[in-house]
Amino acid sequence: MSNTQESIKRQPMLPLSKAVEIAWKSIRLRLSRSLLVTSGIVLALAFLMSILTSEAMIKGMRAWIANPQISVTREQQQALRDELTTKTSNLRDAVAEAAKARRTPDPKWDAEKVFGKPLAELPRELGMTLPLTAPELDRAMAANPELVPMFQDWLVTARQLKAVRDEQTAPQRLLAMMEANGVPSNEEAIEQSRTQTNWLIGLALLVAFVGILNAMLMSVTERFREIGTMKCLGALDGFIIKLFLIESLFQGIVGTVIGIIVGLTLSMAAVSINYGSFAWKNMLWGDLFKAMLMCLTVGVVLTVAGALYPSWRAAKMQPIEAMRSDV
Amino acid sequence: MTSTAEKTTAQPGTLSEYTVRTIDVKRVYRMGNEEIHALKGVNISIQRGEYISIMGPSGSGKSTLFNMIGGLDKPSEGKVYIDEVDIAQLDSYELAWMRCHKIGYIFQTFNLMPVQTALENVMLPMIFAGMNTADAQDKAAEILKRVELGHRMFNKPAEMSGGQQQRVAIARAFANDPSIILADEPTGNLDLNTGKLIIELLRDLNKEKGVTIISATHDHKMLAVSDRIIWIRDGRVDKIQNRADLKIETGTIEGAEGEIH
Repeated sequence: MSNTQESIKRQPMLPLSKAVEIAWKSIRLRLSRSLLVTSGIVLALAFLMSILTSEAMIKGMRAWIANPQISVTREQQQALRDELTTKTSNLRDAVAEAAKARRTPDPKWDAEKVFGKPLAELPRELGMTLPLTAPELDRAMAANPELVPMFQDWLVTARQLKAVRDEQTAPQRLLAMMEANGVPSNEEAIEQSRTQTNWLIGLALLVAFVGILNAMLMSVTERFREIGTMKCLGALDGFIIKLFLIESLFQGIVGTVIGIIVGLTLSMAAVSINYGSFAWKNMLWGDLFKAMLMCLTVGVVLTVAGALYPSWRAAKMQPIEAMRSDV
Repeated sequence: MTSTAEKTTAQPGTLSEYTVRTIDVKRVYRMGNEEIHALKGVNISIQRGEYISIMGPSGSGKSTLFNMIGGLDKPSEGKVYIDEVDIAQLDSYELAWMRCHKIGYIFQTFNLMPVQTALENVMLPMIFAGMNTADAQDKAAEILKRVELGHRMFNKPAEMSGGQQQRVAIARAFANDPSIILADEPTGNLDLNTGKLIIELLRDLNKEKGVTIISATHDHKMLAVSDRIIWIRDGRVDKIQNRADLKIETGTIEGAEGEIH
């Protein structure tokens, strides 16, 4: 018998899994609305993440400029320079000697074929000078094949010296690149740009927060009747709050993760284009990871905070609202 | 549970004659500085298993009374007893329990959860009541079969006709074997024939389960099957018609259709 008299009991709290299930379905069905909320979070977090990423990368490069790890000592460089000087004079003497001998040049000789480049470009490319003109060298090698390995040997040493020089001037070059890109280098300017960046981040987060609040409020208003019905069916206030918070939490996590990926990718691409391998060699992976964790926290806290008031509004709604057919 | 015992005036385990009793119920709303007396002292007693229609023009206090009976609103003065429990004494947890177990709601606009299938919609009140999923599933399926929707169990509301949606809503209202079914214009959004089928279904369930059905309606087909009609006018009970009187006056009611609307 359905009408058995029984005393009034207290409605039990439902397990969280039920709220999760209903919230998940609701997101899937209202995909466009969910995407609207999520896209706001994605934008804000992508912005935050890109700023943090480029900051971490530039910090890494700055640290390297301040303390570059150069493997070659001054002595080694000097030794290499001396070696090249010796080889240069040897080559010059050998060429002069060969010119005196007046041998017939090999008609099949082609310097470009042997060295892969026009002879004149080789020393210039290395930033070295030879006390010989390219045609002189060419003629000498055409007539005296023993000069070819000698010149090749000179090239090897010249290349080594160039590599050492490059390594030593790299910090100066990177500094010049950063200055060209408008990255501040002195303490005061760094501090100033950090303040500006913080303002920007704050604004972006505020905009995202208001966007989420608005979207969630709309979502609540839209579902007045549904919420009222649930209350008529015996849903407790706490359950309604859970439902909306879980829904926003889902959106928050998804939006944040997408935002982090987008921001990280874009920022890394931009910095790599500007600084090439410098950016990757000096990447502070730990800082990047910290930035990601921070973004995740900010994103989730932001979404849940934005959903708190709307959820509370939904929970406090009177079940009578469900009866109104004109909503 | 001493507090609960105090709230229950009838002896536990015995069936009280009345499912709903209102004693001198008044309801005052405040709108700015103005006081609106929606109900000015209503006394009604509804017996177990009765089929009641509440009639009245808009602004008569009909909706307020209806909400009061449904445990959706509390009186400013007077008492409302549902199954001999004074609803003013209940806290929000107890009110939620009562809405879940004692009252089944049927709405003009069906109010099904759009994201859930028919089966899940019917299961919802049982889940709220704390029933485990497997049992709820079996019971929901059984009730859906009773309202002849066994073949639409896994359809979402949007995939069903109005009549089918209202039958799902009826199945949902019966989910926790309530003592009262509150139906707010249940045929208001349905065509003539579908409305007729819904009324018949409600009448059958009323007989079958002995449940009290209280509906606010303008539908004379609904009035025709009612045991009693309570007319509300200007915040008071205007008149109460019994079925016996009704049969004689059927012509009048149908003739007075214009006035009723």
